[in-house]
This record gives sequence, C-alpha cells and structure tokens, in this order.
Amino acid sequence: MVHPLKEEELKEHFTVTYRPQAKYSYTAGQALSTFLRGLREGKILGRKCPRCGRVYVPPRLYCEDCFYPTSQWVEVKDEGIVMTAVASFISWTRDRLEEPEIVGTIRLFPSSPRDYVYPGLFHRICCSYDDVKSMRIMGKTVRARWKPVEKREGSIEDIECFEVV
Amino acid sequence: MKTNLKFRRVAAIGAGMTPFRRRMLETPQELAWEASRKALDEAGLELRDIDCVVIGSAPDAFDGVHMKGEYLAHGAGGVMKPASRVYVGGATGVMTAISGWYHVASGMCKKVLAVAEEKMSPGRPHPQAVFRYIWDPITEKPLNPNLIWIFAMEMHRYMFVNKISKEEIALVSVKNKRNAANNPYAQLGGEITVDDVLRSEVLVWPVQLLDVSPVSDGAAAMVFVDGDIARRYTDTPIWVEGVGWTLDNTSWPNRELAYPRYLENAARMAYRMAGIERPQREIDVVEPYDPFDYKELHHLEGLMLARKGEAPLLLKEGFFDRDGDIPSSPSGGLLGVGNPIAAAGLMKVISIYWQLKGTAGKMQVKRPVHTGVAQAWGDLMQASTVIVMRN
Amino acid sequence: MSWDKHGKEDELLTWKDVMEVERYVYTVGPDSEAFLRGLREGKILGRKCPRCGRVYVPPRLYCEDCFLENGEYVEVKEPYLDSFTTIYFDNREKRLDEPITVGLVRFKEATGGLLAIVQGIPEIGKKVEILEYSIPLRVRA
Repeated sequence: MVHPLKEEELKEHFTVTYRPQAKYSYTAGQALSTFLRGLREGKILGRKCPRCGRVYVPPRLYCEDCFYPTSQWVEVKDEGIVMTAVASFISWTRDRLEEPEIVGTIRLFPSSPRDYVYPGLFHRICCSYDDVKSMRIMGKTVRARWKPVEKREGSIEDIECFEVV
Repeated sequence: MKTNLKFRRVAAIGAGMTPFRRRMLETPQELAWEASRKALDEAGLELRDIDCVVIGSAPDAFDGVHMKGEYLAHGAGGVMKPASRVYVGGATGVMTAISGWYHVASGMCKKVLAVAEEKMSPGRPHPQAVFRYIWDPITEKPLNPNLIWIFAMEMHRYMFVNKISKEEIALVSVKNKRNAANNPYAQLGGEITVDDVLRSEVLVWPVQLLDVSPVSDGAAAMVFVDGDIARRYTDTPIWVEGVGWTLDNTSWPNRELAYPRYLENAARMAYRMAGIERPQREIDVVEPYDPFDYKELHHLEGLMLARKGEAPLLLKEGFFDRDGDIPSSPSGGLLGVGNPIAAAGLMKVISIYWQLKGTAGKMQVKRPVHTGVAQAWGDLMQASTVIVMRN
Repeated sequence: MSWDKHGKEDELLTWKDVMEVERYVYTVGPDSEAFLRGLREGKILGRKCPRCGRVYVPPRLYCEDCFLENGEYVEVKEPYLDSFTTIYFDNREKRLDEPITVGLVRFKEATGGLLAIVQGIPEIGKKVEILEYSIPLRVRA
C-alpha cells in the first residue's frame, strides 16, 4: 500500500535535499550561427531545400523530408501572420505574473495560408491582453520590432517583439 | 508500411497500478514494485515466469535520478533479464505497451512485464522548471517559455481555426472529472461545472487551472503474453490487434497546430493492422490522451472518431459520455486520475484493458464493448502512440 | 550539394547555461525511514525476504528475485570491508590536503552494503569497527 503525502507532512519524514549544478556550454552550430549573425544585421535568414523548395526558418543544414542538404541562404521578410497568440500569467517557475506576457507563433512571408509547414518563429507579440482574449490578434499581419543596432548581440532577443503593422 | 506483417498474436492478461497522488512517500522503485506486483497477481504469474521487462519513464529530471530505466530495474522486476527503457516524451506510456507488444510479437519473448513510473514531486520549486529544457536552447529558451505556453498556443489555434468556444472545451474537464469519481485510483474526481472551469485561475490564456491535469506521482504495469499460451492463465485474454506511432519534427512554430497530422498517421497505421476501416462505427470505447481538456477533442479528431472541428459538437450531444455511443476517457483520463507522465499513458491502456475484460467495476461503460483504442501524445506537439485492443 | 561549413570553432556562437531546478527534495520511503531511525539508535537494520531468506541492507520493501514484500527487520552484525579506494582529488580536481579512504562495508549473511569513510589501515575482507552511525558510516579498519 502506498502513502500519499501533503506538502506540510514532508517535515515529519526523512527527506534528502540536493541542488543540481549542471552547467552547460551550448554551441549554435553551423546553420543557427549564421542565423543569429543575420539577426544582428536585422535580417531573418533561412535555408532552402533544392529538391522540394521548402524554406527553413530557423534554418537547418538538411531538409527533413528529402533528407538532402539545403543549399541556399535566403532572406525572408521580417513580416508575417500571427498563427496563434497566448497571454501568460505565470513565469517558467510557475510564479504569478501581474502583467501577462504575450507570445505566439508567426508565419513569415513569403508563404501562403495553405501551407502546412512554413518559415516561422516563436516570439513575443506586442499587443494587449484584450487583443488575445478576443482573438483579434489572430491572423493579423505583424512586423518585427528590432532592437537598436548597437544593442544587438546575435540572439533571438535581438527582436524585441512582433507588432501589428 | 507493409500490411502483411507476420507476427505472433499478443494478449494482455494482467494489469496493476498505484493510486495517482500529488506526492508519495514511496521512492520511484517502490512505486514501480507496487504496480508490477499487482499486475503479476492479476495475471497469476510470478516474476520467474517473466522473460523480458520493458520500462517506460519520461525525462530523468522529474524523479531527479539519472539512468531511470536502470534505477527502476529491480522494482520493475528487470534484474538479470533483458530489460530496456522506452521514451517518447508524453507518449511514453502507450509506447511502453507497444514495446511490450513487439517483444512478444517478434517471438523473442513469451511473457513480458511492461512498467511505467513517474514521480513528479521531488523537483523544486515546481516540476515546470524541468520542462524548460525541452525547448530549443537557441531560438526558444531565451524567451523563458513555460510548458503551458505551447499547449495554450495549440489550444488557441484550434479554437480559432474551428471556431470553438471555451465553454465547449470546458465540457471535457467536467466529463472527465465526473468519470474519475468512479475510479478508485483517481486524484481529482468530482462534480464540477463549466462555470467552475471558466472562473478558475487564468494560467496562460486560454488555459485556466481546471483545463489542466494535476501533477502526480504514480506507477502502472501490464503483463503481455504470447497468444498461444494466453488461455493457460485466463479465460478472457485481451488481444492487442493494432499499434502505431509517429514522430513529427520539433519545429512546432513552423507547422499548422490546429490538426495533429502525426496522430492521424499513427492511427491509420494501427487501424490498418487491426483491420478497422470505419473507425467511428467500429470502435466502441476510447481513451484519448487528455493532459489538457482541448487535447481530448483534438485527439478524437486525429483518431478520426470525429471530423475536423466537430468533436465539440459530438461531445455536447453526449456522444462521448460514459453512456454514449463511443465513451471517451471512462477512467476519468489525466484530468481526473492524474498525470504521472509515463504511468498516465499506460493507465489509459489499462483502462481499455479493464473495459474490454469487463472488470472496470464502477467505471464500466453502459454499452457492450468489443474494440477499444488508447492513445498518448507528447514532446513538442509531435509524438503520438496508438494501440487497438479487442476482447 | 553544398554544406557551407565554416569549420572554425571561433566563428560559431556559443553560450553557457545552468540547469535551473532549484533543488530536489527526495522522500526516502518507508524502509529507508526505518533504516535511518535504526542508525540513530546505533543499529544497522536489514530486511529479510520471507521466501528466500535473503537479508537486504539497507532494507528494501521487496525482494528483487521473489518479488514479494519483505518481512521482518533484522539487525545485521559483523561488518567487514569488501573493497576500498583512496581519494586524492575532490570533484573539482583539487588536491585534497589529506587523502580519504572510502570503503564498501558489508555484513555477514546479508546482501548489499554501505559506503563508509575508513580510518586506519584498510584490508579487504577484514572486520571493521563502526565508529559513527551516519551516512556515510565512519569505520575503523
């Protein structure tokens, strides 16, 4: 028979507490390094598959369908359609946020509404909670709001957010 | 896929699980043992009869123990046996059963014990912190994402494309928590109303607190045996007739979220193997994966039990109720029973197994059942596993 | 076909990150609780399988072979050193002022064992005396 516990009952039992301290050093790799350097210059770069023509943003060195190397760098627009948007009242540690953080995914141009897969980004969207709640923001055309050039550092954060055109 | 696969018939003859609760005193190994022992008891077997062991568990970082497959081995009966661990994110639970199936179907083993365990309570301040490491470290993690974000994004897209309201989705939560009241293993059974869901705390709009399954500790286990010997142990073996699974890519920002194409693919694979041509006519009971309430509707559509965007309509008509045409989540699902990730998926298979065997007790659905489907889903909205069983 | 590889490491972007689970709080389970209570009283407890008679140290809920719940708790006696190693560096590869000897202490007629800090001159197979009932144990060879 198993024994369920309440949080406060933990004190009455033996527990062992341990703090993990795993430190990681990530490399961005071939394709994403160029992508991040592009962001520093205010460009959103993708890779195009020579066989099926699919454009990968964020870029990849290979096409997942053809399993063939993508061959060409292409610049996509920093403009696109809001596919979905949500307003978060909790942080990543599940603490309560007073002001909601609004994020979503953006289908970047050139692409068409009929595409099942498309060049796209996950990012913050600068709009009000009401825009999200009423779904007004969905399907709107948005454009990247870039950080000033001197503050860009080659990170996805070089785009502050996407805002309605 | 080849359809004329040659394999041995496989039967499920025993299942066991621990209750699912927010926090357990027992260690992960002890939870696994409890579930495994119950499964062996139901099958009428002892550990020495078991040839192979399959262990399913989601990221090591939840229990806070690395090599979780190896760690769980003795509690899962895997000592000095061919034991392996499977992992496909949230879809792991059903994958554990599928893996048990192919160990027997291939002819390699006669009797397999499949065990799934998850202990979500050790990580502080909240298991949420662990989920941060499933995101792309370069293009996604810098934005400090929270797991609920992606669910909320998929839910909002699903609502937007199919013009579905929050009220319609909340009905899933109401149904599953009501079903869970009949389940002795459940963490959160009870009567709630659509209003309760809509008034609960907004976590990430459109997701509110009662749209979400709880965090849990728990374990589940099943015994699968070769069809030739199944009747030595039981008069009512439950046959595994079809399996299917598919993994889509991790680039969820680059694809349409309103419909799970990977699930349709997995379902088609399982249905073809089981000879199901008209899923809605031929399937009697279903356990779709429901960590969030909209996911059940999303998955019913992916399983082709409802047309795209029509699952909410059928739900409102009572089609998926316990006394409806195709009862959905008669166990109470993850929303009602709890969500120890891998164990929750295997719980879905166990629920179908008990329904088909007729031993589901108060959970037993009203209509006679012959064919059941369990499904799980996971990772960055990309993995789906489907199993079809018949009595 | 072209891969456009840069190949030079300094041209690729890198950054560092830390796994940020603040902490893990592990429950030890009912058997380890009995074991820890035993330690406080200066006893080493094991638990015996009612079928095969195996005694598990530290105690375990179930027997891994018979797969039955274990029976009574028994106090195990006669600790001996099964193996040992001497440590000169810590986890961060810093030389220790004083090397530490860590050993695996087993008990007569019991399976399993406990980690211990060993004082004196260790010898494999020789009896040890328990100085401190803690985790890890402190023993004298």
